Amino acid sequence: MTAAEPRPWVLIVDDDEDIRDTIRSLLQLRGYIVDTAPDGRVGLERMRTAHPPALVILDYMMPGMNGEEFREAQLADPELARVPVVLLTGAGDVGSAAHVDIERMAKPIELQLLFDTVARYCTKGST
Amino acid sequence: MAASRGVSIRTRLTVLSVLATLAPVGVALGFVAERDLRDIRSEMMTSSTLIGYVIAEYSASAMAFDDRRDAQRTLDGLTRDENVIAAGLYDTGGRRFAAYERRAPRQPSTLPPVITAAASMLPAVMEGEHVIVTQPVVSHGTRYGTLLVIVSTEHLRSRIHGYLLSMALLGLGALAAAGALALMLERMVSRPLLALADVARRIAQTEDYSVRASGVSHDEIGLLAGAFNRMLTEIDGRQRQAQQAIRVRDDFLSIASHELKTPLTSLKLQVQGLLMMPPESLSHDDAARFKQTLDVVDRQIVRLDKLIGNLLDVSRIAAGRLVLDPAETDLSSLVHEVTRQFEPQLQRCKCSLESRIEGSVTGFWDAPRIDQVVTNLLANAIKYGGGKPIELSVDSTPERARLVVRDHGIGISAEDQKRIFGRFERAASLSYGGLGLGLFISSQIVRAHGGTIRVESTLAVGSTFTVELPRKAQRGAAT
Repeated sequence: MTAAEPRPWVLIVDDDEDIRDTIRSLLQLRGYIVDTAPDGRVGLERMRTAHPPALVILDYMMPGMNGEEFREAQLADPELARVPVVLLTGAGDVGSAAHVDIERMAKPIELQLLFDTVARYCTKGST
Repeated sequence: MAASRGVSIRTRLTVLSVLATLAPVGVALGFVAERDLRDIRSEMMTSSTLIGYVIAEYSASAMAFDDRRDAQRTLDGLTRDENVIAAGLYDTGGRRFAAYERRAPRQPSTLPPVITAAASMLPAVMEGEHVIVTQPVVSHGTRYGTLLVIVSTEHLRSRIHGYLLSMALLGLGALAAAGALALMLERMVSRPLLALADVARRIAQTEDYSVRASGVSHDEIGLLAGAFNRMLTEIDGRQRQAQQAIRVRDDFLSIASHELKTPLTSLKLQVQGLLMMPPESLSHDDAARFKQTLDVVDRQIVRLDKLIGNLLDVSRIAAGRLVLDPAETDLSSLVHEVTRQFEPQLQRCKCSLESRIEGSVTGFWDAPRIDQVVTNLLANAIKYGGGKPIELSVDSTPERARLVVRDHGIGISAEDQKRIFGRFERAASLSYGGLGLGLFISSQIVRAHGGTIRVESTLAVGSTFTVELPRKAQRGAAT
């Protein structure tokens, strides 16, 4: 990694403040750079103002712009389309998220699975 | 009556129209013909008798004076009546005195050369195609002989032929009229009914209740079509309501799942975070207690999560919305993974697990759902196994995969075995805890895969649960 290369970061988009803060603090404890957004619209803004994140952890059911709408808007933006997204779902939501064809994690999330998943997409910010 | 049930309305209408048209016309024509022919016949008899009487009068003197030429002249006068074929005067001995015949050159004579006395006694009679008149020739009280006149009934026969022809023509006309009438009636009755039946058939095929019968008239069939359309509107409305209700319920399940699992998510992450990264300030003893406490909390979260999952599954099953997402799955590795997860629990209850699992048993199944079944059966075996060894096996045939879980615990009575797969049913006493949903959900999942689940058990000896799943879909996908 060269010094000029921007540091990879993780974006968490979830309307539940506790989940946002819990995941953020746990990932930060593991040494990741993390930012959060309370809904899809703010999430897209965060992605555009900074350099694109290495991974987005996205809640499916959110007021305003839900996970599906976020994904559509993200794919429509060529700058952001390549950013990988992992969807948080209430396990076995009745078909609602079935057609969003991306990796998903069922709630309640196993911490080890969260760490493993993030590690696959993102190298740690600090050395 | 029973036979007529299979006959179409169209055929019945045609037959009825033909009968309705032909019967009155036929009867009327028959009546007129009978009257007319009777009149003609009686007229012919009268006129023939009259001719006989007149000719006999005129011939009497010729016969009295034996003047054959005068007698012949009198008979020749009959030329003017074309109906008279022949006439003969016979003397009292029956021998021919004079004769007249209207016939073609080679046509045989109809007039007998002699007559018997008996024949001369008969009045005017109809014989075959002729009327035969026999008239005594008498002058001043003396009989000189007999006159025989043969009159043709050609006139009568041609009249009969005329009537028969008229009747045939009328019959044909009636048939044509009946055909037209039947067609009209069919347009009025049969076609709208067939169109209505066609609409019903289309709805049955497409389940599209927005279709309506078109061209509703103001007659009785129109009333039927109108009622049919109103019924469709009603069904359509109810269908939409039912679909709306399903959407509302699906939304509820989705929201309930999300709302119940969201607090669990941060709780579980926090607990696991603390377990993974405990505060460094804790003493060795405190750290051990800290871990023990959090392990319990973590297990209870898992338990709560499973209970929520079960309640949501029951709601889905009740709503007929247990949707499978099948994919190529290896049952053997799935079962290995589940047993691995159960290791801490097996150690806690000190019961051994004997597994006989075939190398690889693949099929086309919904892996998380099959995982649920295996987990449920194994959890039950531990829960009701009384700490005794548990046996687990996975084997297969080309068509089916089989999972067997056997415990040597409290067992299930024959009566209870019948109901344990029902909703909220449980064989064990309430002290064992649980909602009584596990076997119900498992059996529904197995059934949704086209498989079977069964139990063999003896009280205080143990229970054996056998699940069989078809592998067919997997073979179908492979070809």
